[in-house]
Amino acid sequence: MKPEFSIILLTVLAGMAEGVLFFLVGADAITLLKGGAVSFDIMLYGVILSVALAGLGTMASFFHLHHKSRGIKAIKRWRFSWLSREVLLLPLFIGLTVVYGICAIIGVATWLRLLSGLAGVFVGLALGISSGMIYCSVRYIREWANPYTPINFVVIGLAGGSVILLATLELVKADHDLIMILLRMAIPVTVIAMTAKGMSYLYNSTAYSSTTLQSAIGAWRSDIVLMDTGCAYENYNTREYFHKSGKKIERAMIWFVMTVLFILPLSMLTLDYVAVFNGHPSTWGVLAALSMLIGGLAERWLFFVQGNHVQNLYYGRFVDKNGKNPILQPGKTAGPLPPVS
Amino acid sequence: MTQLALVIDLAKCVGCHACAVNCKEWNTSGTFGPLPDGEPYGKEPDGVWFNRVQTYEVGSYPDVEVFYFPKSCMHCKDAPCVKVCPTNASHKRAEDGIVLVDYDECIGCKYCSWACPYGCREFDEYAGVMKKCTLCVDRIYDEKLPEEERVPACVKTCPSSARTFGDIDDPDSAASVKVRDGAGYMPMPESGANPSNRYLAHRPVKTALDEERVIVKKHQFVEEAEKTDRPQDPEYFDFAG
Repeated sequence: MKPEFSIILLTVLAGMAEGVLFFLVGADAITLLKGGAVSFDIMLYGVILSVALAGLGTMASFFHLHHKSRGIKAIKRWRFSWLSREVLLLPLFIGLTVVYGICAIIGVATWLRLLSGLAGVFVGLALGISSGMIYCSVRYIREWANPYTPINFVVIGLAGGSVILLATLELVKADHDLIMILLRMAIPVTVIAMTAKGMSYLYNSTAYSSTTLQSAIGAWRSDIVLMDTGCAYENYNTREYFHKSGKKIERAMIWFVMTVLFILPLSMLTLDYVAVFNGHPSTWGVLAALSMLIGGLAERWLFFVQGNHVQNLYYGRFVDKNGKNPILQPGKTAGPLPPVS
Repeated sequence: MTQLALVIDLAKCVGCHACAVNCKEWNTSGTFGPLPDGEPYGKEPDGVWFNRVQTYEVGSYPDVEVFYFPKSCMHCKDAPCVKVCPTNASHKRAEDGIVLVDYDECIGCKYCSWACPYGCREFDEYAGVMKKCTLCVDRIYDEKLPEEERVPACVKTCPSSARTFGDIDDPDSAASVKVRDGAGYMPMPESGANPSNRYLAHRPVKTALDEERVIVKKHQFVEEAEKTDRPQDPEYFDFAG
């Protein structure tokens, strides 16, 4: 599938916003349990960060719509369409985050603040799941239609959010104990995200759709060659469902994503942990957050590129179970095909 | 239930693309148009078509056959594109089973096209809405047209009568009879979308000429040459075959 930058930005930033609120509320609760309290300005920074990330994501999402003024109509079918649910939950998430922030600022009762925070976390997780389910419910793309998709959307968002919140705390020179609490949560969550994503890549390396050209056109012959796609050059179907330059670097990008999204940040977080544990101020978290942001964008880009839609069968762009595709291997199959941009 | 659909006989299709061209012509000026073109006369022509004819070669030399596969919206009974639409712009009409897009509701998110296994939806970049085959809903109910012309443009134009239009849920309709007699199949049945359009399988069609029944009419030049005493040019006889 063709990666669209607006969707990549929306899913990555909204996922991180969910993660920031999740760990802000988590740190708030743990500090309360330990008998302390998260300072007023830290809460403010955290809420502003979460709202800013989610707001940027929302702005990016509008660039995906061709009729922006009709965007509100997208909530109509929330009972049936995951896309509707995402559109409904995103402003709700931002609203609940703001409510949590207001509760922290005006100093309402602790249970009320935690309750609003938990509501925000719950809606954030639901938002992450519905973002993932948008892709998971496209059953004609095997790389998307598996349980790893919503799991990855949520855990990568959580991991990214935890590290970005950590980076912010380090930048504003937050309390040592608070940074330790966050580090102890960020490292395991990043490891979980790495495992989930690794399993997803493993699954995708062997998963393929059982649909064949034979079944797609109903000609039960083993030797079928596509001669003409019915278009003189390109059309919507050849552009939207296949990304040639991306497919070429797909394997290399898997290693890039695993390194920049997980391995580099994890090593930096370990260094950070060692430094903070020994009582030194450290800014490794900032570098880890930058690396995760780049890796997160690359991961979502690769997620789109990996999508192999069955309609590609009609255009000779389908990647078969051997990982072979006529377009990517010129000269190996017969039949003229239109050029791909 | 009524389910209007197309039945396409692949053995009769000669791959002339007339259905695709007439579809484009009718719908560009019809209610659901236009079907815009980007750079139609340039190096990289690019446009919206509701109907495309794809060409496949089966077999290996010397037993090779070419057949054509015209593909337009299947008007699926369990249309996956309708299920995912967030705004109800994509809808399936209860009265005749036609899947349509309401251009005033469509926000242009392209999600329906991802959900379609057949790749039969094409996005109009200029209007910013998704467009697709309407089964010429603006033709088939048009009472100003003579009754026999109230069929989709592709069916009307097909020179080899490969396309039949009708209600496939009515067992006595011409379309249903064709499906029943010709073992009509649905493409990609495992998609779960339950497509309504049916295809009759491509099969070799033998055409045999009965020599006795062929009337050979002499070319007028030959007739003239025979009437006169002029020496007959052997080339003239070639015309008569």
